[in-house]
Amino acid sequence: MSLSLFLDILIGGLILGALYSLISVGLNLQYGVMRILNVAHGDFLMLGAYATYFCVILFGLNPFTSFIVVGPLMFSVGLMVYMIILRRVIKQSKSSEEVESKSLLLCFGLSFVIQNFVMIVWTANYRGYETPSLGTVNIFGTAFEIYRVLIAVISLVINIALYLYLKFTKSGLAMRAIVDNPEGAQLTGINPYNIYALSFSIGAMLSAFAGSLISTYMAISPFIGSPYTIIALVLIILAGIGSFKGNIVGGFIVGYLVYITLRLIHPALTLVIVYAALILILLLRPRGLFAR
Amino acid sequence: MPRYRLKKNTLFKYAPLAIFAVLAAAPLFLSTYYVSLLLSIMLWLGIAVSWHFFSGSTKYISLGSAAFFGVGVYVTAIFQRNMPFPSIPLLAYALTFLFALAVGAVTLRLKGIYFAIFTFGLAELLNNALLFWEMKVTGTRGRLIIPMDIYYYILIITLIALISIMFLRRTKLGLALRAIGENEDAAEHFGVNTTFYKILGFAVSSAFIGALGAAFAPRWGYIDSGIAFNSLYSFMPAIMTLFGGIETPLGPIIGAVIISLLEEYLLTNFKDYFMLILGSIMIIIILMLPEGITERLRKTARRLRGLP
Repeated sequence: MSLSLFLDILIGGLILGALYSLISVGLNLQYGVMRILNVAHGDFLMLGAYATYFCVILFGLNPFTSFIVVGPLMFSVGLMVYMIILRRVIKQSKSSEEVESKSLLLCFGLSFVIQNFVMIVWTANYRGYETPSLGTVNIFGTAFEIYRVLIAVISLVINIALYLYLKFTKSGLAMRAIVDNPEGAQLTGINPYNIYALSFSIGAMLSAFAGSLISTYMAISPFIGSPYTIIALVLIILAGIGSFKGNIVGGFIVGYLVYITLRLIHPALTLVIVYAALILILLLRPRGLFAR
Repeated sequence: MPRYRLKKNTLFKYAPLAIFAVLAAAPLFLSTYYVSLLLSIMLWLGIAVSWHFFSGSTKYISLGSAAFFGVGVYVTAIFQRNMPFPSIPLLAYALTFLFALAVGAVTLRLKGIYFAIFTFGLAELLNNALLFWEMKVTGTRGRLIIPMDIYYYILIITLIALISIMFLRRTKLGLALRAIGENEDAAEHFGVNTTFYKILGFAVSSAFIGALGAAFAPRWGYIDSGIAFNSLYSFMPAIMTLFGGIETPLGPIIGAVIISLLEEYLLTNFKDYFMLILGSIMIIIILMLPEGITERLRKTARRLRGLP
């Protein structure tokens, strides 16, 4: 393997890995806090991509500055979905297993609703906008588009921001408390339903940010979400559910796997390779690499 | 919960036989439209009942029926020219059984969530693997299938699935699966080998879906991986069973009949809104009708008779 290819894979995987850790972190938060297995996660990502697309096309915003619109918008969408649909299921259910299986089916239905709603309103056509080229940057003799590097940097910054939020704010602390011990957290006076609403909305917002970033280099359609849902789900199992550290590391593992497959093997085999890694890890460490 | 038993009078005993006779004779007197409607009802009924046998009993939700259906479709696509057709669904049954054993062996030793996630991506995985295979190795895109009349194949396979699942529910396997659904830890304590029964039950249930896929494939003259692994085949058995009621074996049957009729109505009148409406129905069922229509009707009937 030539040196330039090696460097290409080294940096390319790093960029993709940072993005993947952003894609899955929202899902990890939602599942960790309230046992909601949101299989419509990729569809929130798709909505974020559409929101950015319209910000760019209609208001002439830069895709990266569109965050100030996409963030609050998708936070509210997440909050609405939680309030209208998920809250009821959490309140009805008697055990966390029941929440898991009901929310799984619910989100499965929700995913079809979101995809087909978007298809009816904005057609199934692929859409894209022109990303302003920022030129390239030379990293050890290999040229990388600056905006690809920017995507990785933004992903990591959002991840770090979330980490700081969970570490140092009161509501962040409450979220971690619920992940660790739901009953104990309630005894200390935390209202779990507020925390659930908050973490679901933040999860939706984070996946929408990932969608915004993806829309800068890829044409979008109502059905781009599902592959990302699958990768995010695999990633959080691989990493260990509810583990923030695992999420970052898992992001890079999956990022490298996908990038190596893309560059050296064949794009159609990415999911096959990711699944093979998942099977291997489930056989060796059934609860994920960073099991809590 | 006290079970509400129907009295086994003569009518009840012979009704299934009469329904079968009518279904068998249907192509002789019904128009093509109604025959194809019956065909799709029977197909969905077979898939929903098979799905319910595992996922309904154990509460391990499988989102991957499309994967097994697609394997069946591809068995037909590959072997149709080399084998007499009646043996193909059998072969598909065997191959899907083995495939599901492998999937189950990896995921069913673990908690339900791993299983759900794994099956969620399974159809997409096979879809991609086949795309790669066709691009790189065979250099084709999709496959031609010789169309033929499959009404009786679907009728017979669905019937076999129904009868064997009714029978299997009373065997050790069926009891073990239901015990797992009630309380897996308790089942384990009573000496039930839960992992073994989960894997076996999953394979049995998936294999029927594969056989149905193989038998249904000749409806299409041409298939590709997108048609064979359509996520609709994962979605429909779940929504049908939930609508009918997941707790009773009657649930998937009633759900399949009603939802297939609804599917036909929506597809002819609101083609573009089809999936949107079905998805919304699924959400509404889970929120408003969590125990399904059969349980709701039973409760209403009891209330009307003044029973608690």
